Amino acid sequence: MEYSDYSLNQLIKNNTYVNFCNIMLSLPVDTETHEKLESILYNGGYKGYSLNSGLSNRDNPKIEIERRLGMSYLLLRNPDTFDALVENNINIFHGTNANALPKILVYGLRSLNNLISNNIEVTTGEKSTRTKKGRSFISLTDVLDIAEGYSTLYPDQKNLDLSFSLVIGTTVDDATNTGLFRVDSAVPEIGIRDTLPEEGISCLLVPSSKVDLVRRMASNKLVLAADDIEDRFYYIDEFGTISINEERLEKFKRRLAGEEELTPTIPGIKQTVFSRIASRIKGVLTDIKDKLLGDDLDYGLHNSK
Amino acid sequence: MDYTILNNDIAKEVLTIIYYSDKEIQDNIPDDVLKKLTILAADSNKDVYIEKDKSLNEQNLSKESLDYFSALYYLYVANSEEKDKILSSWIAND
Repeated sequence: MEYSDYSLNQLIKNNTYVNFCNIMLSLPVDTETHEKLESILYNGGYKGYSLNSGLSNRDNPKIEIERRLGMSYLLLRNPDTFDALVENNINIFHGTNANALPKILVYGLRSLNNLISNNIEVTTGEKSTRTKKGRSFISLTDVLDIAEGYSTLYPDQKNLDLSFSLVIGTTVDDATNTGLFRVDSAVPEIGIRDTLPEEGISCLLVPSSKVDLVRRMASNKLVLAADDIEDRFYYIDEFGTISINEERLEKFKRRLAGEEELTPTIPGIKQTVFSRIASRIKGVLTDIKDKLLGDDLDYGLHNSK
Repeated sequence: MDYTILNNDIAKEVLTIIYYSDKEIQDNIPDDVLKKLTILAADSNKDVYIEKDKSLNEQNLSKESLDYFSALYYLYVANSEEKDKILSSWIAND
């Protein structure tokens, strides 16, 4: 079954894509995952789920290959997430970071102009695309790799700052119902007008270590794991040539074999907790009771000054 | 008043500390508290980042957010023995 306008014969004219497929299909996975992988790499979809949304402003064999690279990589690193995307027909994405999470949970995904006109401060990468004309649409894509690329921050400062990646997923129906916006750009984009409301957000993709926490913040929202792409072992250039980073490939194989990765946490938390002073904390505890709790709690600070 | 009232920016900083705390801390913060912090943080104008390998005290975070986070730790994470030790420490630090 073909899900794409581009046949496999067209794509395998790219020898580096053939090499990539061979690498992926040689990785040690179970039979079912292997079948899904073949379907994604050779057909561009799986059991009715198509990687190509049909809404992108640009399409060509290279873009189709990019779709397949990203989704096959996701399938291997987070197979449950792949299954959920297929089941819910989610194939359109928007990449951002954790700084945007509270706003998105409360207000939905809004265009830059909508945020500005509603006096809501922009705290995401949309800030970097602010032009004199502003930006009156929301940029989505059906190339997961591109969305995930936007979800990583300040690549030249990756070792310094952490704010975890957040990718929003939606469906063709929800994007279409929101209102499509014609985008003229060099990257494969899907523009939608103004606001993707909270109910139009089908899922949130966050690192595995954040799934439980974000699920509790975002009640009734599908939250899925998409582990950080810092160790992505392939790269595709503007000509469609795919390069493989052998060191990262070996690391990825070790991860598939079940080697656990450490989750970054802040050191020195207990030292900080112990270092506070009672005169400040008394007021803080009262404020927490009023703002966050509403219960009567005995904090044990009655006798302190 | 020796403290700053919980506001949008503090809520966002506290949420960020929770994001990068270990699971024991995260699991013990009640859902209601998380959600209320989220709603407050939604109106924050700040971008908040954590620097790898720096301790919490060394991070570019307000002392108010450290106070609020510490209070949540005391209320929900510390067992009774640790609570006593934390309380004694706070009083002694005054």
